[in-house]
Amino acid sequence: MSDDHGHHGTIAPFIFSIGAAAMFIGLVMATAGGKDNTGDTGYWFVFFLGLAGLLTGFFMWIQDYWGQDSEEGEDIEVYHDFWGTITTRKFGMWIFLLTEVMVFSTLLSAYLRYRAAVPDYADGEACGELWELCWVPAADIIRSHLIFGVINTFALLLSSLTVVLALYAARNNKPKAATRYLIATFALGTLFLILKAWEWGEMKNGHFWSDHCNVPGTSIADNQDIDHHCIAPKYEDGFWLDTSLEGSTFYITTGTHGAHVFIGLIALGYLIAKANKDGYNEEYHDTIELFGLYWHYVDVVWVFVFPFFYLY
Amino acid sequence: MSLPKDLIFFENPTIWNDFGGDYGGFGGVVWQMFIWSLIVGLLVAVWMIYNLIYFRHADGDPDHKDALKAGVFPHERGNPKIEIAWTIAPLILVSWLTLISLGPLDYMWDVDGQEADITIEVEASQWWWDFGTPICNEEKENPQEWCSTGIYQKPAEFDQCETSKARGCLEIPHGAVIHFRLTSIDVLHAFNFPELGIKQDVVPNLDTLTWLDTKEFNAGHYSIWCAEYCGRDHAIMDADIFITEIA
Amino acid sequence: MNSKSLKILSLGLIMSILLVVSSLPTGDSLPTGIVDDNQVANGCSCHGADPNTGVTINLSNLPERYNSSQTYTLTLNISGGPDALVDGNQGGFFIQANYGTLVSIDNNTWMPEDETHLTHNEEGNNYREWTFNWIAPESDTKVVKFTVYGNSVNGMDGNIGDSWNKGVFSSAGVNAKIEAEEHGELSMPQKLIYAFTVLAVTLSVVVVGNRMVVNDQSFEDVIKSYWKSVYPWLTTTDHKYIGTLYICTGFGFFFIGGILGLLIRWQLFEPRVDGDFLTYEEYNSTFTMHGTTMIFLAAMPIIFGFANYLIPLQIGARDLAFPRLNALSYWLLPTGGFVVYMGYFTGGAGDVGWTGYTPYASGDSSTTPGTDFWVAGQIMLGASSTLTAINFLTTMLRMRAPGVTMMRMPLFSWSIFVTVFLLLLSIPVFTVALILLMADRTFGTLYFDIDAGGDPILWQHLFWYFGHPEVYIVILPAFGVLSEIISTFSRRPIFGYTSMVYAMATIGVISFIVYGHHMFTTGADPLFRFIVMLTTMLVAVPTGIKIFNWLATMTGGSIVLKTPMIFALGTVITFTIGGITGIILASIPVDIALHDGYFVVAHFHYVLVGGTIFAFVGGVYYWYPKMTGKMMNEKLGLLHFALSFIFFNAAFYPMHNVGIEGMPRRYATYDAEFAELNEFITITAFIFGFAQLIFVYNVFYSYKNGEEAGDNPWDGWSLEWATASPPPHNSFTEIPTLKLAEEEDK
Repeated sequence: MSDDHGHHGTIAPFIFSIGAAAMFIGLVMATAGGKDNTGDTGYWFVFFLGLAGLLTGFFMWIQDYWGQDSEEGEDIEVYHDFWGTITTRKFGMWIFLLTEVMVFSTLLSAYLRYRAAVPDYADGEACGELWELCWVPAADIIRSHLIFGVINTFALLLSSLTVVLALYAARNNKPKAATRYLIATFALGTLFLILKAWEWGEMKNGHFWSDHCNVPGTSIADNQDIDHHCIAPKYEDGFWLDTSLEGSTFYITTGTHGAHVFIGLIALGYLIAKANKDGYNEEYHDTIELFGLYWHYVDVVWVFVFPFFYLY
Repeated sequence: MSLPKDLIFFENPTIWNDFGGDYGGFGGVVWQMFIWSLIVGLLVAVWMIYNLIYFRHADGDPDHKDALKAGVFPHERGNPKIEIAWTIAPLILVSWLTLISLGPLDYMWDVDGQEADITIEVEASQWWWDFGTPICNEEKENPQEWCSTGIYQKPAEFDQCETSKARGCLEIPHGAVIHFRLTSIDVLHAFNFPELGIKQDVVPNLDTLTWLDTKEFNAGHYSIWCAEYCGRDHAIMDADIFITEIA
Repeated sequence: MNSKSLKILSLGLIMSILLVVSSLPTGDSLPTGIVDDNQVANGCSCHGADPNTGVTINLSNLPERYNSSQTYTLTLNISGGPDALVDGNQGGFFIQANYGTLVSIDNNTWMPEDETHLTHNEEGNNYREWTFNWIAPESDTKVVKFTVYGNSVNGMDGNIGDSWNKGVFSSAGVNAKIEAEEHGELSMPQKLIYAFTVLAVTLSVVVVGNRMVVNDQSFEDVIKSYWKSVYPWLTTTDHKYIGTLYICTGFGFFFIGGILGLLIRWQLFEPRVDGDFLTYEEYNSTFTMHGTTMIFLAAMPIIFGFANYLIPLQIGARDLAFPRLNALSYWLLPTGGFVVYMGYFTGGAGDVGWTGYTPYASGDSSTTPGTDFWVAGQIMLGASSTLTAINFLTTMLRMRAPGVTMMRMPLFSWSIFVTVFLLLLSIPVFTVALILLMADRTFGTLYFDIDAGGDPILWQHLFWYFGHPEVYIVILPAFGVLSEIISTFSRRPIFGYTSMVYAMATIGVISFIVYGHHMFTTGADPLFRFIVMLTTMLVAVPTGIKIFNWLATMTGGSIVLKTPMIFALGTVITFTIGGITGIILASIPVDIALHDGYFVVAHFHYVLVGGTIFAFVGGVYYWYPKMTGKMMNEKLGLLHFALSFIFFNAAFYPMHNVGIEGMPRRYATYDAEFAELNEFITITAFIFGFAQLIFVYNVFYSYKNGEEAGDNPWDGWSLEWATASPPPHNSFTEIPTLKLAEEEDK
């Protein structure tokens, strides 16, 4: 097999794929298999086995990078200067981010299509008994606790800064500072996820309507009393992804974003471990930049998600 | 119908109808499509045969000046004038085909522009068609004479309907403008009158509409078939429509 | 007479009387209908010992599928049997249903007390036709059986000349499942899977056993030696090996998809009731899996395979930019495909059509968990394609050898370059749509839930925004192959290289704005639909340029008619036909009539099989010598082409006719008027399918026995022909520099 630039044969992709397949098979069978097609819970075992396979493949993959301490010989010679201004990996990362733009465009456009089609409850249209015919945005539920969304926004923005500072530190041959900034990024990202999880829990279990909210003879918008949990009859039992379209779009979009943050944190975990072992310095810091690009993208997506779901 | 005859001729009376618009209407579009397809197809075929006859390589033939060499990007070859010509010509052709399609298109979609004589609610479900009682438009400027007599009928009262399809059977008068208001109670279906070239998706959570001017067609027995995959019995989800002369 | 003889005499007399009495017509005729249990069980045996097949019983207006509690008026009609006296007794009947209620509606029939059957009465026995009602049971999942006896009499005394018959009729409820009794518990696809598995296991045993005997090795040693040759394939990151894996996997799935296609054609050989060959549900899964397999598991892998193998060679690079990622892209393919097919092991594969329209796909009536597997597997395949696209774009921009500027890449490379852009921008959208569908099905989200206000058209937008670029993704590389082959075998440069590049780029860009032409009947905004019609028509312009340029390449050339060229030329013909029908469908009024019918099926098979598949089969014949160092057999190639071309056209052309006549697509059965053409299509399709075996044989035969190919058997110009066949380990001994012909002339 080709020996060029250190890419020898590896069983990792094979293992990773088998793991992925097992995860999906386990997930589908656990939720839709069994005698009456409502789920055969024994299959969660297969799911976790698949997850283990996936992680095994992943760790085998990064073995190569673990031992590296310089980027020499890493890149392939470029014969057409214009395209050689950035490294191959950075190039690949930018194109990957282009596909990620498509991912979030799809989620946001599906959401906006529904918001354009369904009348807002506040516009005075007939909304049905439980207000099921109108759109009662997640923003109204979050409004009383908006502080967490704001903290999250600052956390993420700040974490983008810390990642850049880590890169600068490495470039200026300050490996210890680089490591510290990476840890700070990790902490901020974790804060983001913790606050989000807490927020989600509150929304899922909240009661956003009760009898005292029904004031006869008043308009729909007047009945709202967000501070006292009178938001919409359809949210009486909580606001979750299967409650309404508002819920589905909210949780799937913010959830997808959260999943991207989570995966970023896993990658960041690797970077920190590596930083601890060898330290990033002026010879070796491209990985931080690659991660930084991804992390900035995650941040930019949040800059769209936040106003569209928390404020609109 | 013999097999060769079936293969050569296209059997659908409607598509040759020329209702709707200038340039020959719907039938005109079909005819033009047919002729231009033939011309373009023959052009390609004849040109290819011509090439195969006159430019075959024979052993010992010397290579052309711009023959290919491995590792060498070949000479430029082209003729801008000809290439522009065969860019412009197809452009004109497809623009023409688009233009002549507009008339029949407007005719088919200008539903709001005409007044129905009869409105029929159609409900599609897995896997049958349910017709509501036809409602005659008494407010039309010149209502049909038979409007008030209620001669058109719904299913079970109409003895030509097989009672097995009592729900999916309808009689409508010849010489009327019929509007079908389509709703689905479960998944996507499509209301398709193959013989008349009418097709409209029936979408849950959306009211769609299609219409028919029975003056344009002969009286008789027509079938409606579902034309949007809807599950197990999609292939046998049919209904009977009878267009009858009201004397 | 003495007492003894008296006794004998009286005994004899009694016996005779009994004999005579017993030989008389049994009992009276039953003008008042059948009441006796004996007759209920045995029929009108009084009128004849056995049923007579000369009597025909017809029960009309009995629905094939009844609706719950609905009343149906049935007519029982008897024909055959003796001529009847006018106004005399003519016939009688008995009818019983095991579910539902029979009701007499006139004076000719009645239901005896405490019985559940209907029979004739004295009025009614003057007829041979009776009408009555049947009220369907409340449950619509039953299969109701009607037992009928019909008696045809001549009205004369006695039963001489009378005949009767028995008939059994059934009606199933709309939600009844008809057991496929003829094929036990296994569905047809399951049987095929088991059959092939048995075949594969048997072959393996034979091969391993043969090795053990011939080489005198132990079982472990044989397995170890096979593992030694298999393991490198599991771990390779070399683009040539990965390309080979892709091509072989792709053709393997093409074979499976082909069998599914033949199952479709067998089902459509004649009109069939549910369960006759396949159940309707099985048929729906069959066309779903056929489409998904052919596009995602056959066409795209074959394309990626050729791209993998050739792009680095054509641009003068040693491998792709990210070889390990490339391996991951590949391995997600067979594993993802396996997940898609899991449905066959769990009660039925996905049955939502390759387009997966909601709310059928997001609801309960679609196969579960088959549809969930169909969704999950495609998510994996989407990830695979996205990674491939990232890899190729990086490679083609950064790793071109000296001299290989963008406008000096071979046209196959250009076609892959444009394709990769389409992939990048469309596949993620489809993958997200699949995730939303999976979320609806598995986690209860409401994106496509009708009661929650979900919009089915949302899915259509998301799907077709991907779906239309997708079909250009599979045809552009075919265009690339055609350009290579036609130029090489005309022994002259391609005519109009620059316009060819711009044409492909234009097609790529336009492909994103025409997707609405799949939605003309949805009731979408009229302006949107008009713009889509115009742009769809416009896509014919760059496509036409390409066709004319290919023909112009041949004009003035020196044409060598070897198999690759013959396939290429055949492709130009069939693709032109497909392109023309595409323009016909672009006109909205015409599309309204033809949408979702067989005209569309004809169109896309002409462009996908007649375009993509034929082109890439030509590509196999063209590049096989490069990949293996051996030439393929020309005679077999010619035979393969002749049979394929003739029978492809024979099978798919008539679909235009049948479509215009009004036959809708995705139909498990059809109106009898379409039967003759469908029979013809089925037969020719089978021959087309079998003809492909010649190709398979040629591939394997030539590997062993083909002539040595040499570096450049066809006198091509691109860089893959400037290295050995097959190329050495790292493709080029040193990175080549592409020269320019105008420079070389000096």
